[in-house]
Amino acid sequence: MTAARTRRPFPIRRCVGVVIIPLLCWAVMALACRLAGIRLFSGLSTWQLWLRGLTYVLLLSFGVSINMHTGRFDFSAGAVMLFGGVVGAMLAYGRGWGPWAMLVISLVVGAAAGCVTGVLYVLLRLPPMIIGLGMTLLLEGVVAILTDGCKPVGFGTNADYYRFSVNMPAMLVIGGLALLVMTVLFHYTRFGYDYRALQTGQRIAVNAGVDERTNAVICYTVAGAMLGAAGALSICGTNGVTPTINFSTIASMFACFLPLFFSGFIGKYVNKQAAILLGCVGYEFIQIGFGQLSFSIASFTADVYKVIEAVILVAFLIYLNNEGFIQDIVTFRRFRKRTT
Amino acid sequence: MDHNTQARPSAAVGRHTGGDREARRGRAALTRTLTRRLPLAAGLLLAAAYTAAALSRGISLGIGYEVIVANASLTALVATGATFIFTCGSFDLSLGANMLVSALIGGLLGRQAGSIWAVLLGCLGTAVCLSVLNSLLASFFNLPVFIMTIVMMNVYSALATLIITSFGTNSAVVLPSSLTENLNRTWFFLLLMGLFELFCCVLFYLRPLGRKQRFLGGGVTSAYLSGIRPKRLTVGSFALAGIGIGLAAFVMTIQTPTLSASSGSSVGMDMLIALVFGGMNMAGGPRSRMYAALLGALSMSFLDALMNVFVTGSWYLQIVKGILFVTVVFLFSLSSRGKLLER
Repeated sequence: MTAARTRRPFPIRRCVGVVIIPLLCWAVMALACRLAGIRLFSGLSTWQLWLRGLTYVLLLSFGVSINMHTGRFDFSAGAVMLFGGVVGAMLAYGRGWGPWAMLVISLVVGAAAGCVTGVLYVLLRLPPMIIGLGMTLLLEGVVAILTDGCKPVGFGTNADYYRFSVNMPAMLVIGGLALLVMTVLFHYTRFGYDYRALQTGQRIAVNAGVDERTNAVICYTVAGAMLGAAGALSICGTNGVTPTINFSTIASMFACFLPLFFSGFIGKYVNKQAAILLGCVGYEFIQIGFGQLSFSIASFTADVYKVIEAVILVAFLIYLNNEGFIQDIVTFRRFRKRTT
Repeated sequence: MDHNTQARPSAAVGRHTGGDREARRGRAALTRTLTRRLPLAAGLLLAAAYTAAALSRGISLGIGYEVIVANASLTALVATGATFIFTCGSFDLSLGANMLVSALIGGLLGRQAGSIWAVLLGCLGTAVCLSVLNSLLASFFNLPVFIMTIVMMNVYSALATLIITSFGTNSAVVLPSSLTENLNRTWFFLLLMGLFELFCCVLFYLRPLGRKQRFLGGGVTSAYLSGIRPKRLTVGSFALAGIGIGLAAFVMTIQTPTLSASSGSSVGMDMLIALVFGGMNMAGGPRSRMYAALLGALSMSFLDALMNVFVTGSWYLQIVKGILFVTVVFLFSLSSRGKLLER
């Protein structure tokens, strides 16, 4: 009975499980666009936007997933992203170093901010929620000081940064590198094995000799690097940013929830990092579809599709968290059990 | 004789261990006592420091205290309600966004009906409904609380923007000032805060509800095995928090009858910090205190006012709050620290 439950699904079922969500997202959005009299992908520019969004969401999802999957929910992810992006933009644009330098600076600054969060978490031994909220307040305040009271940070008339964000080969390289680093680090190194041991049994792993503190600091640092890079792409894509305070950066994590929970389903059939990539692919189909619909339907604003996105997310989460119960209802298993 | 000589060292070890344990217990009790009195001492110190600073700079104390009460009332109402949620070991970051949506709906109803009672009912009804929705998603559909709270924060913010763009003018929903000006008084804010605090303290300390909530926050399984229904109690706690949010939305509408997307944007953050400053245990459970919210809100308002005397720019204040937030929680956690890292 147990063996039957734990055996791997048939190859066809696995293939279907892997591609079903991205395919479904594409099909639904293509149909919605067709009904509105437009096309989901109207040309090269749409593909460029799709790839830019995919790379950004992929980096953000990787960054958030590292701590979230070990039960540490880091509220400072949005603040680290903003901090890394703003510092990168100010230095790179101010000194004329260009978008690649901005990306590297943001990545390093993000990693440093993440490392500080991790060290505080380990030294103070407080819940991650408290450390995350404290760091959010601190980083938002620092960004506000750096930008002289939340003044917009941009690139003026220099279009190099925007062109970088829609440069398809550059985005493919960044996304590919991120996927490679995550796969190697979390699946083929001792750090990765320790990470998974701590993920599934913290006490047993620590008693067996796993260095939980070092592992946690590395997790926060890698997450910070991913988030810093995501911040750089976000600022390049929107050609600037207006920093905000009062915990408002927490909301920027919202963008990665749907891909991460899609990956929760896809992850049953494939490696976790690949599942996150596929979740992001599906999510970006939805985003591009919403974007196209907003061009043809005036009332379909960003706020409307934020609400729709939240409804999809909540519905999917309800399914994921009550899968067994829903399957029992759909297959009438409970009814059959009762009658027998 | 031999037996006695052999027994003596072990007895000595036993006495030594017992003494150590006593000393450790004593230290823990002292830490607990100090941390229990620290919030009140800090609040009094901040009030004294502000009074001294205001007097030395020639700032009118009367006006200064009125501003402090007005600012504290919003945070205190939300935080007092939120204490019910935190006591049960739950969590909600969407309270600020919930307050804005409630204020907007209350404002629209009030504008339509031309009555302040319609504003109050609209604010209370919406806040309780949205709060209960959050609890249903977390308790009955088993959604992770951290995810639910961020999702709902986004949804309510988007909803507020939609309401403003659909029913407002110039990116704001404006209420006639004749409707609210009679209530925009310090005595009214004090009265409302006092009555709500009293109502919550009675429920929390004198009725079985508070005891059950503290029990639930201490451990879900033991609470369930003792006959407490966790889901039902959580929904009830969120509904009570909704009353606080609704009252805060009402106060916000009175204070600023022009409601925009940024109205009350700092309340969600201030509520959390106020709870911590007041000495609330963020993990909930038996050490939760209802008065912590009011004490923390007043302390934070005095800190805001004190900082504003010397520094211009809310971002410096935010950094100070961040450092204090982590420091205070760290001090409270000193008496209960485990070997493993917290999750």
